[in-house]
Amino acid sequence: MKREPSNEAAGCRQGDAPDWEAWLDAHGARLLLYARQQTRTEADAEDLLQTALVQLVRTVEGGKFRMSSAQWPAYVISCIRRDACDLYRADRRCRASAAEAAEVAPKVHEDTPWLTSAADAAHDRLCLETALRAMRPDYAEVVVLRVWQELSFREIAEILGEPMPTIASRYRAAMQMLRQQLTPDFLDFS
Amino acid sequence: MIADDSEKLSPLRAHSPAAMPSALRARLLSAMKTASAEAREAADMAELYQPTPLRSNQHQRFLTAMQAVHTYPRRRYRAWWAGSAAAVAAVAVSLVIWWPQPTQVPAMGPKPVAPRVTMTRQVFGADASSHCDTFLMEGEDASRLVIRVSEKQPVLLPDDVI
Repeated sequence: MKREPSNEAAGCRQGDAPDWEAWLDAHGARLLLYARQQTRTEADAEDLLQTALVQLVRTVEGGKFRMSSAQWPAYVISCIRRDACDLYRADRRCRASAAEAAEVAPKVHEDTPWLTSAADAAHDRLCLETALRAMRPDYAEVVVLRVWQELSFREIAEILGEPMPTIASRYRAAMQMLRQQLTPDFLDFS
Repeated sequence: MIADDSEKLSPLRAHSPAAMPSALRARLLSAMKTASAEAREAADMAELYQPTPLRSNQHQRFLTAMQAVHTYPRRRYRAWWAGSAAAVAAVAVSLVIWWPQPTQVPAMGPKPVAPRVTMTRQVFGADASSHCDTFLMEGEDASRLVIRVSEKQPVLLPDDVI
């Protein structure tokens, strides 16, 4: 799965009215994956994605976004990440005790698949998803952004507000963990 | 820096992100279209109704007001420093004026003999003091010396003695 070389295919030429439906079809699944990785429940992921998309539309249609349409996914990811931080910061304030927090924590998208694959690779997909969910969130975030959002390390560093060497080292460590946890015949990306 | 690893990641990318549920897609599209319509309407309104440009006198007046606001803190601090300096100067002057003078310490050593006693001894001899009680200077210019002698009437000395 390679990112489309240009968003003109999705009807997003500069100056024209963007075709949001085509753009959503091209990027929606990947953005939803990132939203799921950033949230604890499916409802939170959907709400954050909707809020970020509405913000993107307002920014673009209001003429405030001067960058090319290729940078829209990164903008949406930034919005999702910021809103997720705000959501769980407020959530922590609202929850009275740590016991309630522990009660909420296990409900992490248990029944919602993050990835899809061919029928004969269902076991591999399950293993990969389990490894990703068990990984440190900041490591898993870099893997999701690099592998499925297909962002460069520079873009990831700008989104996360971290130095690029930090992102690269997190990525290496995450890949090493995946190699150790997954079966050898599944992964040969060493 | 990690080199391009697209080929190495192909086993991972073989598992694509799960497709968006149709209900969620419809909901997101609806929200995006609504936001798009609102943004376009706002842009059209902003284009139709431009703010009235400032007249030349208004421009100058607002510019003056803005400059005054800009310089106000500096003027305020300048007044504050002047007031502080005046207060400190007033306190210093007050201290100089009303500072308590040091008390006079009496000189040590033998008490000097009063001139009139010396004079009296010259007039009445060395033992005159044993017969005299008091010595008074009279007159506005202290030109007369009155010597009160015990058991005797006051003696008035002529001016040329003094």
